[in-house]
Amino acid sequence: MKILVYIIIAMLGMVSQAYAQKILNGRVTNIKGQALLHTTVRNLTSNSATSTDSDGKFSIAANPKDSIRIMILGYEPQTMATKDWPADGIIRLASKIVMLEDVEVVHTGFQRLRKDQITGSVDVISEKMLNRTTGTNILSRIEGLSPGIQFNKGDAAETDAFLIRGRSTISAEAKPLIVVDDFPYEGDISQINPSDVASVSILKDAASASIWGARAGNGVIVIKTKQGLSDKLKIDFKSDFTLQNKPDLNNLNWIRSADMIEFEKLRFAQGAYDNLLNGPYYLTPITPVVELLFQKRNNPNDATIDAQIEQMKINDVRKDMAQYLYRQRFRRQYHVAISGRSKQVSHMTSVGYFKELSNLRGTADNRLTIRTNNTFRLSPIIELSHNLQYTHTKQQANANPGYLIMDNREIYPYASLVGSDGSPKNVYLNHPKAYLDTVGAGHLKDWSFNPVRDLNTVDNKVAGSNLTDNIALAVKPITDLSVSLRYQYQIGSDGNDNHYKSDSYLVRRLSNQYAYKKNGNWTSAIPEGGILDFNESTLQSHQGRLQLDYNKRINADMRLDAIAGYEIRSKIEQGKYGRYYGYVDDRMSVVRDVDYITNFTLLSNGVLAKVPAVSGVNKRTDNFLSWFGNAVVSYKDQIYISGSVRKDEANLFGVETNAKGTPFWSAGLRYETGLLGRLALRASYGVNGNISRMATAMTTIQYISYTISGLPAATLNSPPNKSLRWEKINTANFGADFSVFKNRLSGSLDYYLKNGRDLLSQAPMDPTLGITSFFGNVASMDGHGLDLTLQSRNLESVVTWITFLNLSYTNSKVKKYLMPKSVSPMPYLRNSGISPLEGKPLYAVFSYPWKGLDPTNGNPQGIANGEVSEDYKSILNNTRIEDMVYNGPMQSPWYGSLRNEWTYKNVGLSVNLSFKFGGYFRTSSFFSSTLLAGFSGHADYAKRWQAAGDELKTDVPSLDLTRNSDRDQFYKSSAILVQKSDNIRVEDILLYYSLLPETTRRWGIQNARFFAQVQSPNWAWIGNNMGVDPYFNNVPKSRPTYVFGISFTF
Amino acid sequence: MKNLMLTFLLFIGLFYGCSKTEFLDAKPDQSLVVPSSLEDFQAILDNDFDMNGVPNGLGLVSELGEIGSDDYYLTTDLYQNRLTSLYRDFYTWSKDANSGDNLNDWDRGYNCVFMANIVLDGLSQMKAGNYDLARWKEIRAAALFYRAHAFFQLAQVFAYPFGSADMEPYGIPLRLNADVSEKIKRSTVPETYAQITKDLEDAVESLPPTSSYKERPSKAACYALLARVYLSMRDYDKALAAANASLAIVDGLLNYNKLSASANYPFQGSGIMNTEVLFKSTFVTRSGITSPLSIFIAKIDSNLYQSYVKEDLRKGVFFRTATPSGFRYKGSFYASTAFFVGLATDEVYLIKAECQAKLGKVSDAVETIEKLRKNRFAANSDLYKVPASIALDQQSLLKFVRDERRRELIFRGLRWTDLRRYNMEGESLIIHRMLGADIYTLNPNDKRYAFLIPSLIMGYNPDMAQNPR
Repeated sequence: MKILVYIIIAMLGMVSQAYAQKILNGRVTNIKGQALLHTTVRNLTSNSATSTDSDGKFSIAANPKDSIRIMILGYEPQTMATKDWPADGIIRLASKIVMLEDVEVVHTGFQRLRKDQITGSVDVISEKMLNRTTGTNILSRIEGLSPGIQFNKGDAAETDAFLIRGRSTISAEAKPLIVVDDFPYEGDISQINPSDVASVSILKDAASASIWGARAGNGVIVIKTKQGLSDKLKIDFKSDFTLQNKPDLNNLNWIRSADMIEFEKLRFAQGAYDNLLNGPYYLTPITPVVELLFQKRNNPNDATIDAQIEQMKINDVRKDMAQYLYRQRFRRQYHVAISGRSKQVSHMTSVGYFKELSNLRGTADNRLTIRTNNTFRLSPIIELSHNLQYTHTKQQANANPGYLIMDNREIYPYASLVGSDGSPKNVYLNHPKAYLDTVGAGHLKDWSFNPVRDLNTVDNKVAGSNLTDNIALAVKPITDLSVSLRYQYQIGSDGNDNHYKSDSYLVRRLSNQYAYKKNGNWTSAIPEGGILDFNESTLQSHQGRLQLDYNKRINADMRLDAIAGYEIRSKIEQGKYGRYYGYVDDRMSVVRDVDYITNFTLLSNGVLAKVPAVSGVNKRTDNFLSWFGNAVVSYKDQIYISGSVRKDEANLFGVETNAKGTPFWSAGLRYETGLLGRLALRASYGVNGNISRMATAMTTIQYISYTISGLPAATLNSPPNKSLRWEKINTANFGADFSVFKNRLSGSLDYYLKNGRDLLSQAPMDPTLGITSFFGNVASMDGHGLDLTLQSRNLESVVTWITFLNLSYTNSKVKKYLMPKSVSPMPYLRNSGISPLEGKPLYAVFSYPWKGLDPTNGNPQGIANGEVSEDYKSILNNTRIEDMVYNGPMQSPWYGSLRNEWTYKNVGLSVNLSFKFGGYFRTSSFFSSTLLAGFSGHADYAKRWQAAGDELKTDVPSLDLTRNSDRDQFYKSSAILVQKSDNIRVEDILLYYSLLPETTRRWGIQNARFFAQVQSPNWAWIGNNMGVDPYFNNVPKSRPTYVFGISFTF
Repeated sequence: MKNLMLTFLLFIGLFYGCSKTEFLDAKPDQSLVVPSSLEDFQAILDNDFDMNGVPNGLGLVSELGEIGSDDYYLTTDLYQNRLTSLYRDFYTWSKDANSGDNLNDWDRGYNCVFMANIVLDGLSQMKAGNYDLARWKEIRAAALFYRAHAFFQLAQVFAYPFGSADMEPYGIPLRLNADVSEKIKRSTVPETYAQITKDLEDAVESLPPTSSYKERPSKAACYALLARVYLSMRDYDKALAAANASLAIVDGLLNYNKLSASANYPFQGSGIMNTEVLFKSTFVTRSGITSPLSIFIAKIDSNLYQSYVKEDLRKGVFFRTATPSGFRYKGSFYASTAFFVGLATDEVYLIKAECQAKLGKVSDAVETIEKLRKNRFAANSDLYKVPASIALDQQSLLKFVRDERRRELIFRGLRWTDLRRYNMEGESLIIHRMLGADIYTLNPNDKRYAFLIPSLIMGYNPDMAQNPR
């Protein structure tokens, strides 16, 4: 290592030599002033050549009579005599064709490369495209803009919200790696203001991503923030306003009030509720209707009771919820940036802010971002850049769970949350009113739950701040070599203070549950005052990189762009959480002495419990050491060969040091055929990796403090796993970039194979072995897919019309799975967890064969022992996985987007559609035992089989009063309830208007733009006959979002 | 320029400032510990959640046997409206009664076995001389005890009783190490019991006589468990010896005259740390509502209730009036809805008395049983004494002791084992469930005296034999 230091010092000494020769200096840009990197600059007289660096700069030796030719693919070549050399040295090339996008520079996080130097599969999303939509999270803005990136929606979002080219791991991290300005971003990506982003490069295959080694298996998203570009001082101002109506709660398929009331009457007549009146604990609430029915029993002639019940039939709790728990969403967003570029300095400073009042009353979201990016060209060979970002976020959550009222319990459909006099009403979801009103004979706290009144009794705040400081020093001691040192420090903290005020339901209920009589007086183990739950976490990361860049024009035809370097990364996350009882905020006091030791018999249910103690500390460390190298050789700007290697070592637990590292590599080829308008062929192969810190090689335990005995104790964290190793993901990519009809139609097509080996899985296990799941390298997966992108310029006159199509296909299946496999379908029907099954996708939808309803009693029929059967126990216990219907994958294998853009003079219209095909989901329905157990029912109750002949009209089974949960279990998992999640929908419509330059110039404005957009209007074609929108399966349906915005450049 | 170079050097120093090994050996999660010390192994065994079960939380001992027993019944209404179909099947001994999903009755027992095996494997890998040998032996003995306890509880529910020649192949899988790639197979019934008794005999030497924590095993608890196991094997000599050995260490009894029979939970205050408790454990039930045993719904068999005479304090301490009719259990030593199914001296006295009666030591048996009963009857009553007519006749005395056992140990997870044992001795106890017009019957030595192994488990081990039907 010392040698390296000497080399660097020696290089610094060589600096002065670079100026000994007489040379021409220049910088090549496009018309907009953006640097054209790696452009060939050839002295036609001497036949020597050079290329521009990543800033577009070059220098070439020349005599006064020589002529210089500057050429790059896609631009008109320019030949100029030395004597005509411009004073500022800037040479602007005009694009050969009408470029759809600005020059596509790929940032790999290590290198800037021209897109046509890339041998693998990469997409670049420009600033213009990122600004099509207005989401506050950068990830939401790349949706639908690149093939191969899948945003799952609805139930499928529970599996993976967001993937590049399908899921390539089982239990390790499945999210793509996100890089911001050359380093992996360790905080929450929502801390990055999308308005600060200049471009997003998406690295999809091994050749482009494997430089990121152990974390590249899921693809890499490289975000590059803006730098000062303009020679003049430039001020950008942007603002937008977003409005969205309350969600549509009628999309919740809840049982109709009238149906529920009729059902309760029926059950009441059968005496089903009589037992609820027996104490000493009243754990089942009594609904208002049942309460009235009891009253009626005692006063059979009271007609007002019937009238009250009838009145409730027209209630719809969803209406009340919408009115009192929801509101219109409103967000405003501002962004100001000042930037400029001079010979010595590029600078950009921006401030962004947004505030959102969300759909749920009492919830809000704020973010302030401040960023400054500066580059100082200290001398022709030394460049220092410094990026600093500060983000402050604040979220207010409070106590509004929306339609999930309380603890995710559903509520009887005829509940009214506010009385006719406008006063908020109690609802009884845990205990009957009669019990709560009398227990403790008035000595307890008010035990009632009142969703509307209690809304503001919880103050739940999350505040976060993050500071990222990034310094890079690059020295160019000799013409072709650059040495750079980068260092990034990131520190972030998040604090959640959840204050349950003394009048909140939680505090009142807890206090009452722990109430007991002491010397004849009521007291409670829970101190007076509120409860404060806090959770604080900090994140600190250091990342450093030493890198050598060697960009050499070897001869007139051949060029080498190579890098090599060393990287160190350390991330430490620490947290602590806890609870204070007796918290009073206006005098800042808490109660210290709480009895956490005694077991109290809870007043509400006779259960033995200690006062809930919530506290803990944690610390996680993530260390990486890596070597890397990458080289691209190009020949005549026609053939490109790339190769990369990387070795990562990490602090894996319990693994011998020499097994902590693993090498990754890739190789690729690109060939410009010169056929058609353009046809370039690409092929690449390589190995990426993935690792999970959940895995440990030895038996590990964690100490716990919550034993009944009070003794310190340990719980098993993981059983031994001697053969723990890194996941490996092999990717082969074959692609073609083409344009035909004078570039009218262009695009690219990629086919890839993506095979995961030694995949880590949290696998369900035979519980006889002692644990119900195991984490190890137990599986392999084979995947393949297609990415197609097409751009068609249909009209090019006063009116322009361009069509963009992104189409992707992803198919990945479990190839091998080494853990015990259950022949029973049970593990594969669960909603949570992953149960890999060979030959099937990771998230597969299985169902029991459906044989319709029994015409005599409306029972659902399945197959047991090869025959149509209503023996549900036998169906559940004896059906083997191979007898199940395999419907298909949960994540749609076909997906994409279609966007049309029209412009007329300074007005533009853009319509973006998205589509998904081939996925499946389970719809909900009416299950008798659920209705019998509580008071939540499904609207399908109205469609249930009631009399012979109904089986021809409906597939909803009859009401079954025997509480046969097996019958429901079968129906719930039967083929009849599985539906296709195919859909085509409008994602957004954008209309914009730019003021003409003549107009704006008068006001000193360079550019002014106004736009209006409707986002996610949910205008959709749904590919299932039940009409259930797969994005909103029995949850409130969001309404269209309207955005209005302006942007000015001064 | 100099400054710049200094910065450069500083950065490089930062890169290489710390040792590479240290950097890569940092714990990814600071709370992870590789168990290697005696303290760590003790901590694993002190996890009472896994090793004893948490009252009102997730317990340890299968409740299926108790669900199938005859000490209680459900009204048709409660049966229909409170139970899930799975528990309805268990309640009526349906020959198909089986869970397709994870069943805690099975999983929790094997989890406890696994934790004990981790400790046993870890202890055996410790380098000799690096630890306190007496402590090492004590921890090993404790792990053997926990494992044997879990095996025994599983065997009562999923294996056939000891000594049944036809059913000999149907023991439980014996997991004896922590290797998670082991192939699971059933042992025979004799093998199952041989392992349990071997582990306990091995453990008993090294355990401390008593423990101040009732979650930890002691010599007294280990002898008590041995007595329980030998009794279930109908080895009355050994059971008697073990019971005597246990009582020689701890023989305390709680006088029920000190309890308030009118309280909601009479054991509140004296509770689970009372003088009788030797070792704590509880049923797996998580939710008291779905189990037929729930103290809110189970009603006491009326003949059984009538067999408690007025002066018997247990009548008030154990039961309360139910609505609209009948009687319900008030709850155990835990003074809550949770069931105590651990070991206590009252059981040991009853084992001792039964063995003495069985072995013809009639007067000894009378003395033993009266010592217990004296603490259960009103202080001013001498009804605790065994009637003379019974005290002289071995068979009558045996029956008297067994009836006393049923009264004393109600809802302690023992009745099912006793039913199996009595039937093995030819008692022909036929038990019934009446639900409306439907009558369900369980005959002596019925194949249904062992529950089906959960189909999820059978799914993983298709070659394993299921209990016959």
